Amino acid sequence: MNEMRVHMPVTTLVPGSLAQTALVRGEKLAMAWLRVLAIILFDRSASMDAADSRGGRTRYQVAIDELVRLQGQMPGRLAIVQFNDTVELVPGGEPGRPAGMTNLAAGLAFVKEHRLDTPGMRLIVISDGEPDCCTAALEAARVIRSRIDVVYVGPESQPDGREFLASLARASGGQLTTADRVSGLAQATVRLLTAA
Amino acid sequence: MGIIYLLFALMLMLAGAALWLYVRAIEQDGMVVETGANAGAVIPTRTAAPARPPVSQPVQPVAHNGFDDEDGGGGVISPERMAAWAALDEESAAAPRRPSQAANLYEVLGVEQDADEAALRAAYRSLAKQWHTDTNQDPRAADEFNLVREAYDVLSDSELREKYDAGLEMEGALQL
Repeated sequence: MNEMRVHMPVTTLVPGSLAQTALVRGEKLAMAWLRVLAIILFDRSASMDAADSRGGRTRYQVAIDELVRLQGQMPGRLAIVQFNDTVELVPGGEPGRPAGMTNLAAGLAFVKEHRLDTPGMRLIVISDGEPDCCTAALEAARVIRSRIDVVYVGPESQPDGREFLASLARASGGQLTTADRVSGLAQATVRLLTAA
Repeated sequence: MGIIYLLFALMLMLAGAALWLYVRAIEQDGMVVETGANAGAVIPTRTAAPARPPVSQPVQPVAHNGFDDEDGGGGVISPERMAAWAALDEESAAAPRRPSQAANLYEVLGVEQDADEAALRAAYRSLAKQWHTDTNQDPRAADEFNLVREAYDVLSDSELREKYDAGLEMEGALQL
């Protein structure tokens, strides 16, 4: 088994994130992990740097705002895993800057390899488009025990990526919801988590 | 021009010498308050260090904080101090291991990470008896008991245990 990679800049600790709630409660991360309900698999590929989101901001910038809001609403309940060419757990709650490709298959394999798909754990993929290899992503998703929901944050005008992600969600019994260019990401995620 | 530089350098040397003399005077006699209601009073400063014994005179070890000099800066440790430390070590080794000192829930129960249900239950029963407030008068016994119970609750539930193991791996990755 590969060692788990962790992205943990010392300067960033989002309120409500896994690490921040553990710190506030004075408990170890392994204990804090017991309260996690869902893993957010966050796409931080270069396309998230497109400045087509609200107010002329990049998808990444808006996504960070939404992730901060989301973790504040559900403190200690969400764990963030970021993926592009590499995959890393982000206990501090703020994914790194966008760069690289969209290796969704590696993201899903990370969840499986480190046995994060424990019973009852939900998995939410946040992505703005098609992964590098659709068949590999579907293959990786097939062995994951958790239900996979997807929030599509690309533009509605580019349906290809959206259609693939919808089929990925359907294959695991999950749903796809759209947050056009990241607008309303937090709300869409909460909607997915509260859906049966 | 050269004379001006020479005079300037001379003045600097005189000022430095005056400052040095002033500092020496304060160290030896205390600071004199020159203005205000307490004018003329002498504020004592640190006392001058006692003169060190001549080099030829043998220095006797002093049992002061276990070291032979007052500032604890090193040297010979007195036999009394060594004996006191040894006694503390023995006391510490003989004391029961506290669950709160454990690094994870497996260590709380004192079992291996692949311990089966029977091993978990046996460890839990033994520790619960040890830390129950009915039998243990330790002021922190209740906290220790609760920790033992929490560890057993998590590890005896297969789903929670699986989740906890994943969390442990994450914790280990963070400490790399």
